[in-house]
Amino acid sequence: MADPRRRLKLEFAAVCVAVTVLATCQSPPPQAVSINELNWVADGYDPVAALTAQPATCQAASDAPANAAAGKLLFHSPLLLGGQASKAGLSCASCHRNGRANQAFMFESISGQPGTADVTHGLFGPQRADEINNPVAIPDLALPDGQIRVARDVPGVLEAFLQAQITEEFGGALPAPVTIASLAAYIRTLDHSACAPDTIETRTWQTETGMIQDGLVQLASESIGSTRGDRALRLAIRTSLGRLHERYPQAEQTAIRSRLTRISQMVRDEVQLLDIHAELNALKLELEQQADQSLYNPVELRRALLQAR
Amino acid sequence: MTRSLMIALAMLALTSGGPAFASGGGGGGGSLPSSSGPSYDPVEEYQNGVQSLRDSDFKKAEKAFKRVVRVARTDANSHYMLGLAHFGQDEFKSAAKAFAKSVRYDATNLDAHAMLGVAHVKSDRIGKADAVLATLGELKADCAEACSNAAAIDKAIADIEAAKNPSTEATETSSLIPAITQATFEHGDLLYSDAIRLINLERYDEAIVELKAAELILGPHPDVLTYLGFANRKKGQSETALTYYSAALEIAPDHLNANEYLGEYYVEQGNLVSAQVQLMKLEALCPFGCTQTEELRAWLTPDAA
Ligand code: HEC
Repeated sequence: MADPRRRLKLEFAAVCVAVTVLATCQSPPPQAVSINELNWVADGYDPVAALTAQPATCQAASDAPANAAAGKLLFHSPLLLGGQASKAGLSCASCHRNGRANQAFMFESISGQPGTADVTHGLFGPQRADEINNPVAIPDLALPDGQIRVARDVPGVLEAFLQAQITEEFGGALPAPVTIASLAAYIRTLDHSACAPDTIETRTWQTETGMIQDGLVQLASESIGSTRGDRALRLAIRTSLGRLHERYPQAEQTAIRSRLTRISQMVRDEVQLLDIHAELNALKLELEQQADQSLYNPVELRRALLQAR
Repeated sequence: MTRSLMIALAMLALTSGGPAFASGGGGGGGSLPSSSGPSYDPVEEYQNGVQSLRDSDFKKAEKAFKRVVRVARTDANSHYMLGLAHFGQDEFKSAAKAFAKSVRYDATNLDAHAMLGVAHVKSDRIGKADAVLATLGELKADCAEACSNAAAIDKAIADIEAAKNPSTEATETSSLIPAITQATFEHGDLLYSDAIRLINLERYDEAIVELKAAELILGPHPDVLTYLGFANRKKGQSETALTYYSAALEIAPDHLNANEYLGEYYVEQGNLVSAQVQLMKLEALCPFGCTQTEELRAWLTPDAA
């Protein structure tokens, strides 16, 4: 029988972009851990490992590197998906961590065993809703031909798959062609042979700022040429800033959080990109200074998780 | 415990074997229902109260539900549960008062009608019990034989008649307990997520039935209330929708979905100023962007969607 207290903690909340614990949403007590991703780390898996490391980046060179870089950012944006998935804060990367699989993934009523998901569950969207409970293992998108479902080398096939997936499986709005092109360019770079098997990498603040930077570059480029594509990128940048915000919750990090909020507003309000870059550079210095005290540090994260319990 | 109370408690058991999909093994995964946070938690109190009812600790249940209705003032289920808690302590007048409120806030709750009638009988107010019977008679006439509530109405009438006939009295309490504990909170979650599936399929009537069942288990949860509002709005019941949105926001003022859907409601009513206020509120609640803000923005600036 479920402990009602525990039940409430499980709420998924798109809240504060990313909050987990119901009661802590409005006024997080100091050092509470409200990292949205924690919501789908299955019991029995170490949340610290899940939040501070990820499968190594296995990417081959792209013939559209700027697109591929922006695609990686979009791949991490919950706002690309629609409906309940997006409201829960799920992004492509929640399931496909760094483009790979995610053995610890657990989303109630969508997952069977950890690491599986039923992407045709009607919770996510109407169009592919079936009444069957059919969770399958989340695939590693970097596997070679023959082990992947959707051909990467035939032009248009992956693009068609992605568009259908976003609008039909996840009930999202139709993405701009440039958004799909970027996602596809990113997925095409994923290549398991580009790194040693089963390697992992540390997640750091640079993981986010790198993607933010790439997003800003893409915003500046002519190729964007679409309001819808532009908006998706801006939102992807803002959600990335939000993830940094989750990792710097300490009292001494107030200035960082204010700057993150300010940059998010600047991105939303379409201020000059040069000004945003300047703010971002200042931010990077602060992030680095406080890195050891941030929740990117496994020791800090574990301590905070224990305290929150 | 009296027979009628046991029947009422047994209703808490609901039917098992709910929607056919994975429970997630009760794991620590992302879960349902979704929500943002109430400053005070009537849901937790409600669930504690239900647990106390199951344990036949009526005093404790009364305390819990009294706290719930202080926050969720118009929640029919909570008043109903409070009534059961009083009833279990043979406080029939207080029970009747609570059941009457339950019926006032949700006239379709036939169990509350039945218990109201029975509580009146127990407090020797046969005239009032007969008035309940008359109300049920009217409901029955409105509904005719074919309507889905006919059986439940008959049962409510039978329960009150049985209470008036003193030969039907107490049976074993313990026989009921296992049945009562069947309705787990996970089951409430499953009902909720299945209801969202049904809403996605635009099957609003079925969704409302499941949401109400979820609400009975989970309590006045802002997520559940919000989607009750949503489903009603999609059916064109805009006033009912507003009531549910307001109830959700009373409990959790910063609830993202409730704020979004209230904004959409305002757009539908042509009240663009209030809709804009909702959008500004969401902007403040989501400094790093969120779907709720973007969805409402699209309602306000359709060309930008
Ligand atoms: C809820 C978890 C989940 C999310 C979120 C998710 N996926 Fe998947 N994805 C899966 C599962 C499970 C499969 C396997 C489905 C199947 O084979 O039917 C899959 C399959 C795929 C495939 C086909 C496999 C291959 O390598 O050819 C691609 C490509 C893919 N996903 C990309 C994405 C992208 C892009 C997004 C974001 C728009 C995304 N996924 C979001 C779980 C998810």
